[in-house]
Amino acid sequence: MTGHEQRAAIGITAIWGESDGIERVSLWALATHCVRQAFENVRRSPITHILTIVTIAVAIFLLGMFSLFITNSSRAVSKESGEMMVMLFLRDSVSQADVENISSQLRQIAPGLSVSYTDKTQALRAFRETLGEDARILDGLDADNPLPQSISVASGSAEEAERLFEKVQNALGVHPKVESIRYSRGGVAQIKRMLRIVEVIGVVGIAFLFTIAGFIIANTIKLALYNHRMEIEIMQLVGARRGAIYAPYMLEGLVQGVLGASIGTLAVFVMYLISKGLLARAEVLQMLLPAFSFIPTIQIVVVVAAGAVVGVVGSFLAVRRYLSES
Amino acid sequence: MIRGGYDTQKDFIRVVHGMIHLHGVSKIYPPDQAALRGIDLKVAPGEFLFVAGPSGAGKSTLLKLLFGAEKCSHGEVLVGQRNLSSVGRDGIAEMRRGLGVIFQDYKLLPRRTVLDNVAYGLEVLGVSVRERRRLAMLLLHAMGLQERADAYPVTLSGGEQQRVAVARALIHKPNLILADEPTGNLDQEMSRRVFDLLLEANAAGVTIVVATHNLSIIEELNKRTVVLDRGRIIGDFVHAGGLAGASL
Repeated sequence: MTGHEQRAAIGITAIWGESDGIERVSLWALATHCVRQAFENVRRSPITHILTIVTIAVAIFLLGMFSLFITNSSRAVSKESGEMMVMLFLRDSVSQADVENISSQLRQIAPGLSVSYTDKTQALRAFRETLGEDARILDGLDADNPLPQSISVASGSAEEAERLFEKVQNALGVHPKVESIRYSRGGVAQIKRMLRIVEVIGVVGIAFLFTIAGFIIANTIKLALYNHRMEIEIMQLVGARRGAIYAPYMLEGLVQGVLGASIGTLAVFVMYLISKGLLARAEVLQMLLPAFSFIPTIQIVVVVAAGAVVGVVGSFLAVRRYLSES
Repeated sequence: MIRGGYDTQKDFIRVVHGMIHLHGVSKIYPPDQAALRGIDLKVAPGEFLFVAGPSGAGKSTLLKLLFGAEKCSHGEVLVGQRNLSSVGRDGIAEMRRGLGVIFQDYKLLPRRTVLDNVAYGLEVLGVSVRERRRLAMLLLHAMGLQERADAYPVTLSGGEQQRVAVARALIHKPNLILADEPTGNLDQEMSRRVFDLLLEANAAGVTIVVATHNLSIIEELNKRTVVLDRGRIIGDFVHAGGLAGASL
């Protein structure tokens, strides 16, 4: 036995004899490690983290503004859609029998839809109601009412009204007692089509923006990972499970995502309040968007969740790439 | 019954996992720099092995292959039941949980205290705070560093940092310890203290592989020694006596 062996027994076997506890994995201890590591990461590279949060906030802000626009525009268009109808303006020479005849043809063309006749007096009254306080300009027209008699067919949707208009035009376009046929809300269908295009472009744009945000997050986290290469190396050396290496960074990404999304949503809310104030002062805009409201709660939840997903996925990709490179 | 008082089935399995077998192992770094050439080596469970040789002989590369930091270019590296040439990332991680590695450059976390550095391995494995701190403190006592538990590595001397690295490598009860010049920065007294710990661990059945060119410690401990030169094994001595007159 060497001198070293004689001097041995300074306690390593005794220490190991007391170390049965290391066989037990505590989820709480693992969670604490992840939170501690994530907190240290943020504390050590605040600029990188602020940059990531701002990137997510900008992406979420643009998404929120887009949602605000689409939600309110769609709401306004839907309101108008409910009043869509095809109108047939009749010549003054039309008789009661002609009205019956045209109405009957319309019922055949559009079975189940409401067909209603409006005489000159009713037309003037309706016009007065539309003008409200300005109806005074119509005073004196009762005796010599210039408004035409009309028959209207109410339709459910813009697409239905468009189809109905074509059918009515084909069947009664050349009727001697029909002055003209109008598709009263033709513009609405166009707006709807435009909104749909805007929606598609918006969705593609937002997806693109989120991809960019994901890349920026992945790169900022990759930068942060280089600051933590020693920890990661030691974690790998002691055989840390993959989850223990990934979790702190994914937690960091989650916090960044939620924070960024919350700041972005808050900015959208501020913009909403400003816009609402402006609308209250602009009567024309108020007529266009009478019930201007904020994004529904469920959409806010989805937006914040989207931020969280972007943060977590960005971090995951960054760590995976870093580990495969190292 | 296994030496050192380890007599349970679990401890027996741990010791068996300390077996090392290298068969025809070469490591070539691009473009064609051979760090190791055709190494055949068997280390029995519970054995104490010195890997000696001059700088650039391939000692550190050999250790890197043994803890899976590098893959060999040719041949097979078996540690315990695992063939490290073909095992995946998770397999390497699992193998490392039974491994203690002591680096020449210590690899301590600068923003963590000495106590936290020693306990870090247990922290990422999910051992409770109380348990890991208790064990870390016991090890710091054994290393004579109990007074420095709350200090940061930057305030420690090279020798103290070396001892912290040794404590970290031992804390999780490894079945194999790989040490690269573990006493490179220590004075004679501290070197002895570290080797006393390693010998005690070895007596408890832990396989130890130490890469060093410190001939005096090899001669003093008189253990099996493999000598490397330019990536080849040029000598395998059961006792350091065979090294008499060698210049490393």
